[in-house]
Amino acid sequence: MYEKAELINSTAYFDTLYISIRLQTLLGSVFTGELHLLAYLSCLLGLYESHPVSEWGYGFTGTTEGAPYSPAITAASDQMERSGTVFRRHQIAYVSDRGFAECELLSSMYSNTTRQRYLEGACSSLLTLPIGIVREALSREPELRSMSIHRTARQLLQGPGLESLYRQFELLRSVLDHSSDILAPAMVWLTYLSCEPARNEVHR
Amino acid sequence: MGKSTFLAAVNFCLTGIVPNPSETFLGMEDFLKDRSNFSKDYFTGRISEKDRKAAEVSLEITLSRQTYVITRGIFESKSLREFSIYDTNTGNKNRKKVFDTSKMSPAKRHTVYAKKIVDAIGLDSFEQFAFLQHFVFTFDERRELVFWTPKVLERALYLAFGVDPKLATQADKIRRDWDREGSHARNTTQEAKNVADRIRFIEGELSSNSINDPSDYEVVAQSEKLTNERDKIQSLLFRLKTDLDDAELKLANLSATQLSLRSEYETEFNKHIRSNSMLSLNPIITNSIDRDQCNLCGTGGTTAIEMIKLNTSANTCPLCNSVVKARPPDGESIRLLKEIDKKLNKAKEDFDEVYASKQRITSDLEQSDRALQKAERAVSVFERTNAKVLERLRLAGQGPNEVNRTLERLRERWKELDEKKKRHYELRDKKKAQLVRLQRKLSAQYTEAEKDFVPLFRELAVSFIGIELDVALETKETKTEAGINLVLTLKESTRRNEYQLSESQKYFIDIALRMALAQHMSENENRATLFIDTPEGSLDIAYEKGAGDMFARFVKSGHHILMTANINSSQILRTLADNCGPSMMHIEPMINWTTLSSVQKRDPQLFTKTLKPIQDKLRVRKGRAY
Repeated sequence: MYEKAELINSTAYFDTLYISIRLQTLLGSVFTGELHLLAYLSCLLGLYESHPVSEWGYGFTGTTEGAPYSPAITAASDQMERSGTVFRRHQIAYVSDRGFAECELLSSMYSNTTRQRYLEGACSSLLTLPIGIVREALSREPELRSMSIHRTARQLLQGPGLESLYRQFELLRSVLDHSSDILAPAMVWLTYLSCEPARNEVHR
Repeated sequence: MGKSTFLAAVNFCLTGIVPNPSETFLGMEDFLKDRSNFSKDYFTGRISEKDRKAAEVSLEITLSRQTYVITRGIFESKSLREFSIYDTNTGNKNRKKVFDTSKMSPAKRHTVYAKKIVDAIGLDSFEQFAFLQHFVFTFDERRELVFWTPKVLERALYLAFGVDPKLATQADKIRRDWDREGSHARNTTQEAKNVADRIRFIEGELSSNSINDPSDYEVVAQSEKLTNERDKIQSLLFRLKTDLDDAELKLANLSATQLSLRSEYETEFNKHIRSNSMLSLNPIITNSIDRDQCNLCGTGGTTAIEMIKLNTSANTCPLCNSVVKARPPDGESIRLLKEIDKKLNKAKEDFDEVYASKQRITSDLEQSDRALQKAERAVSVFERTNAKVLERLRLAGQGPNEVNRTLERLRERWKELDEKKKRHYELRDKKKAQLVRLQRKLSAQYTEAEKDFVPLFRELAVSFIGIELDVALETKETKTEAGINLVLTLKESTRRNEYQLSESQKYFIDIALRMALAQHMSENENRATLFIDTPEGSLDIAYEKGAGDMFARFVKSGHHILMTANINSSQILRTLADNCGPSMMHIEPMINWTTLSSVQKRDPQLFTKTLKPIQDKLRVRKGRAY
């Protein structure tokens, strides 16, 4: 049966599962929009440490509302529900015991070793910042900001906004030169973005 | 198609060639060879890709009361698509085909056409026809002047005044051979001089006893050090280049391995995650149980829920009845995934390592390249500065016998070169003598023709310039040179160089010369046609009317002009229209059939406004003849 079905991206599957478990641990439940948001933040943290976007494993598009979205994450999330890795009780999703076991198995794969640093960094930001602030801050990063200003949806991390992103990361690196902890740049950057004027303020 | 391209296309149809403006004229035979394949380049870009095969030029030319119909593909230099001859004695409407080539190959058709046209005009070769057409009867955008280009003028004079066109072919060949022998002789003389200098240097060193100067050994050491350094860098560079090639090859292989393993991993991963799908955990089932109501049909109650639990506990799908493979996550699947993952990781590590090594090699290569340039410069400067010492040391290293042998070899070489030089000069002088004989013959023939030709030229040129002028044949016969030339005298002062005239004067006097040559050469039955490209561009306003008068005089003598011109305030077209009238002049506005630029399209009424007064002059009105 699986031969005819859509192929699930293994990287996106692992990221979805990892983030779901961390969200469940930190916030008690999982909302689909948050999966996309934290996966995108993880990808940006990888970029901060000079890992090319092309090697992340799957891509993101920006919605006209300035939110990141990945079809690969949606497909992985659906498959996880179908296979019982995640289940729903009264509309709230939970990771099953089987999901936990699967995550343990996939975390041991070499292919997923490097990315765990960025997934963990992105999820840990929720320890100090409420998810709403993280969402608001990310919508002001150069790529997503440009999309919400122009009310257009397109591929993320491929346009001219990438240059501004590199500049911001360069500045960040120069300030946090000796820090080996990925959480520190994540927090500084998100805090900086959350203080940026919002889209409608820019318009005015 | 612009104006110049139009004339080039007509000439291309006639001769199969478009002259390359950057090539110097060496002789008629060389010209027709089109060595740079320029004709193809010229039309590429002007003709769109999709039209390349279809693009062709067709012409009808009248020669000895016959019409030659020629069609040439625009990229076909040496072949014709059509060539027919019609007898037009009975008028153009009832013309009868008297020569047909439809069954010939295109290349054969071109050869036959070349022969026919040469015979009809009375020339000796197609090369002569192409030369006359491009260099004498066409004044185009190259703005090449016959009067002040000796190699062109000489050939034109032989063709115009030699009784037999074979004389021109002979003169062309002799001139070409003469030039070649002269060039060989000069090169050999230079080489002989270099050998003689070297002999003198060695003899000098031998007699001065300076061959064992101890200070020279420092130079040797330094020279060896520099060349060793350079050689070392060169071999390093060679090794680095090989390493870089190896690294690139390895990277390509490792990329392919990674791609293939990644695809293998994805397939196995999908098998793994789908192998253990459980019907009882499907959201429809879990929601139904949560809400005590079937999520598909809405039926509630214990019976319905119990039935759902029963149906989903089996290994068949309750909707499509398919057998569901309920494979529990087995050790084999996990083992396989881990194995591919391990291989993938190894391939990535290898790739990263080779990539880092490639980066290092590239950087080393750049450094070595710079170092090599520096080392080569150092060797070259050192060798130049110490050339004499190094030569002396080479001699010292050879020992007396070897030095003598070197000297002997050099003397032999000098002797050989000296003899070769003499041979070339002898041949050149022989050619010169042949050329002088032909020159004298031509000179005699010119003297006979002068009484007709000079007045023709004077009449045309004076109508343009308004000043008395004269032209005379000048032959040059010195020990080393021979040549024939026309000399222009204006207000009793000789103008041997083109810079001694203004731009307007030199271009239009040159056109006058071409017209006079055309008039002199053509028979009453076959009047020549001159092709002139935008003459107004090189004309001072004061001469515009004069130019119009000169052109009209040529036309009135029964000859033809095919001219392209800009539609502007120039008086040439107006004067021509006034002088020629509708029976002798026709204007064909190119704007009706060529592609206009956006600037030209912006104000089309400007063309009409400027053209109308000229067209009015050419309109036949009742009861009034122009």
